[in-house]
Amino acid sequence: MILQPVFSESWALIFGLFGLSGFILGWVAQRGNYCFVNAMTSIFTTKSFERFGALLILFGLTALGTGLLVAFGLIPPVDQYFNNYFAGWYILVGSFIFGFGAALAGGCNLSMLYRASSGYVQNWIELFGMMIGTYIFAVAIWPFQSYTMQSGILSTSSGGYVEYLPYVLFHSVSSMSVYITTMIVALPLLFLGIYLQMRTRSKWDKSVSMKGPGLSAVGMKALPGLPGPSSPSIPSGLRLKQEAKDMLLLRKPYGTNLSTVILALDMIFVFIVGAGYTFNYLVITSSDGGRFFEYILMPLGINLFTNTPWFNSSLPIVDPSTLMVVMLCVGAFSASFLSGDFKIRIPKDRKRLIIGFVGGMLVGIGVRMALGCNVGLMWTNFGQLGYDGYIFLGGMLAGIYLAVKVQEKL
Amino acid sequence: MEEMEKSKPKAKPYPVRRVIGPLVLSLFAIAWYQFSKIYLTGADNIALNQANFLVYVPPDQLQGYLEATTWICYTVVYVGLIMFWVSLVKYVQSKEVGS
Repeated sequence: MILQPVFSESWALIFGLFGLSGFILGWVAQRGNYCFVNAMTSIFTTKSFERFGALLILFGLTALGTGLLVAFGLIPPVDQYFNNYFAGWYILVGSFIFGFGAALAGGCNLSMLYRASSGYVQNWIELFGMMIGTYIFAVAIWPFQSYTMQSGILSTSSGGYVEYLPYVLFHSVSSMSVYITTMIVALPLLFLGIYLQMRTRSKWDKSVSMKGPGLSAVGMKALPGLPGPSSPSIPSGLRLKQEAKDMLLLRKPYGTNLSTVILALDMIFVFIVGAGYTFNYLVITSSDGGRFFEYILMPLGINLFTNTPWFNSSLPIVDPSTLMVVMLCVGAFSASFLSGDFKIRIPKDRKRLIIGFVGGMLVGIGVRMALGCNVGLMWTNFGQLGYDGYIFLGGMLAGIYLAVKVQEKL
Repeated sequence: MEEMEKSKPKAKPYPVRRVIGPLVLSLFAIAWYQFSKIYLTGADNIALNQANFLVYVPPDQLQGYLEATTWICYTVVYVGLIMFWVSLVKYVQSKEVGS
């Protein structure tokens, strides 16, 4: 199936707009301190569902946005399912390894990039570990994995519309089937996300009120994600205005839900811009782990794509995600620099650097096995109305749970 | 009076990293552009010579990428230099106040 561009932009504009979306992604993630791994870790450590709820809202909003664009005929369905990957054992195993490694290293693929750009040396090491992990995957695991994929061993062997939920549920990709599937996917995610956030907040309120009025201010400030105590003498409209001003002037980080909405809009923006160009989602992993390792070696005269498995068949030399990743780093650096957050931070405990490297290697192996990361596969797949995102979410949660338990023992 | 001056908190010097940071950003943008022009174009030719069309990027796409990279490079370099200039002025001011 050959895609037809929905809007006939030039390639330069396509690449430029993908770069812009990367810049927004980096900026907002840095300002909102948005991390998929932290969101999931907090479930097991502090029993807080505030950020995990935001993740579900992010997935729900993305599915709703892309699904409705397709259902109302603005974007053809083929754009939504074209990049749907195969599903199989490797997504579950890969996401488990990814979750475990990322929780050890202290950051998912997105947070690794924006923290590295904000001066966190541990995340530089994690990034390097990820590159090495990708190479290990390419030579040691990919030949076997690709054999199981081609043979259909614990794996589907088609991808595309076969794994498109409207087709799975209704054997059709008509507007109505896409519309109903969109509602089936998006609404439960949205409601569950909102419910989990409300539950966590009411738990916080209870714990604050139990501490008594004298301690409430301290308690409120200590809880992550809460705006802090509000003075009753300031009208809410004025307070909101002040908060917006503070956020615009980078004096205050973005709230979790504001970041969620902007990130979902960013994904929808990319979906529209890239429609018909085969590459209309936010995809990060293959670039930073694989491609950038390849790029580092190029000046040394080593071209991995000439003789190394996976590198010679899975990655074009350049595509819109290249600029997306570069601009993500630029956006995160700009946000951290302008807000005064930027600082080279070397962990005092040097053991963290080794753990970061090992965690990064596991991240590299995990994401390549799973055919994508928490952004490029999980979040994106909710926008694609596929089911790989659910598998990835389950595997990642299990991996993070194990990492939390292991870290408790260490 | 002297005691009052002594007790006055010393002005915090403007961090050097905030001056160097934007310069590094501008240099990174130029390096990225040069890398793309030299190495990525070269790698694409190697892929074409080997007839590896899974990694080969068609000329119109590569040209689009290079064009976008050029404009991004211009933008990042100019913004980086503005940020560098502002930071340098603040740094010098903080030094003057300190001395």
